[in-house]
Amino acid sequence: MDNMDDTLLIKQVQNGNRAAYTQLVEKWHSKIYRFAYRFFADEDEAHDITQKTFIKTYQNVNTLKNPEKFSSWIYRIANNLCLDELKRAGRRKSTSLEAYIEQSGRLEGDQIAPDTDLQNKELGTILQRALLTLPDEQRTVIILKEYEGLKFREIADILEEPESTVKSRLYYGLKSTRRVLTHWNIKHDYLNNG
Amino acid sequence: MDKNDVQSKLMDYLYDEMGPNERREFEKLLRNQPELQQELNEMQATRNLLQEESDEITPKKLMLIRTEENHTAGDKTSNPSGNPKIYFLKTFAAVAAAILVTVAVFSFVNLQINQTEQGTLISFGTPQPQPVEEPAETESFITEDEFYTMMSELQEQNNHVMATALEQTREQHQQQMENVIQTLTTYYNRRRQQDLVLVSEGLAQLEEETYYRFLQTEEALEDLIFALNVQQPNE
Repeated sequence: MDNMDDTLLIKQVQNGNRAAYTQLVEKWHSKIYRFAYRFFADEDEAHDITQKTFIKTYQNVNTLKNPEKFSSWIYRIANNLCLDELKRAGRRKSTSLEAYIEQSGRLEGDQIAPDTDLQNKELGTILQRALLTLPDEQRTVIILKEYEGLKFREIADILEEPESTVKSRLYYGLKSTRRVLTHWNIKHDYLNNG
Repeated sequence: MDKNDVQSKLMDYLYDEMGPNERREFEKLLRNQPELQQELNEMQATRNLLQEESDEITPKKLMLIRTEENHTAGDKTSNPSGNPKIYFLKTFAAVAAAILVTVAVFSFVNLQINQTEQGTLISFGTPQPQPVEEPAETESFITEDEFYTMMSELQEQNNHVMATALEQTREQHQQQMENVIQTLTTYYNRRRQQDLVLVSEGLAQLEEETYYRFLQTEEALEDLIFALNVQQPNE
């Protein structure tokens, strides 16, 4: 039903209806912001990416041949903008997993006692930091699957990769996340209660 | 089933994207492979932890950016009224209203702009007359004698100043001349000494060369005499 709504709205936008685009923005704003926020763990970056995504979407809406694919299309634009931003910033916003563990392992271990009940907010911050340690492509897949709840087929469509690649990235992404969290001693209360 | 297939199935099972038959088969596989079951449990635990992130992510409001007219599909309606004439009239009316309001405000506050010698004066309300400072009248008078006395004193002072200045200038010139003469004297003395050294060196060299040539001439004469003496007995 949602997809149907998007398709109709996109067709109206393509016919020059600006109000329809406003509806689309209202509908997709929080999704794109959430995606970008989880990608960068930074509010300003997320806001910037969201803004750029909607500008680019609007500028190129006439090139969208298949309005049914709007969902994939807008996520693809957002993801590409995130990757472009990383390139532009010289990848300083992203740290490799090994380097991150090496740099922050002892500190994190000291700060977070194994048996401490973590507050949700602290846990949220830790999880965001754990995601940041992942390679970009694994992070994207985890965000799209775990937080946006998309099907493998949809993620494959967004990333223009085979489903098997998406599953493989997710598999290794989850393993890496577990590895980071285990290294930070976040295991007693959470990781072993699967 | 190779490793990639197992990974793929594991993901499908974990995220519940498997058909019923496939699911039964995979559960059978899990029962037979405890390490695969363990891996699945770990993955599930990681997923559960990721889902624990309950922070409400609230986006900021987007800024409105007017995009360039020719680049977007929505540009057909970039004019909110949809009609260019109405849009133009609205803009014109807004500008006219702004001008009227400005004029009304200025007249209300009695704005006055005056050009003065010091610059532009902007004032509101009725301007207060500026008090004009009149020059104080001078009542001091001077007699003719006093005037001449004053003039003669001034002349004397000027003469004295001029004489002093001339004396100072003359002394400066004299000092400069002495310095120049001193420098020239030093220079010529040095040159003379150098010339003398050169002349004495030249003379010494000439003497040496003359002596050497003398020796050569003597040797040549001796050889000649010897040769003549040797030839005479033979004849």
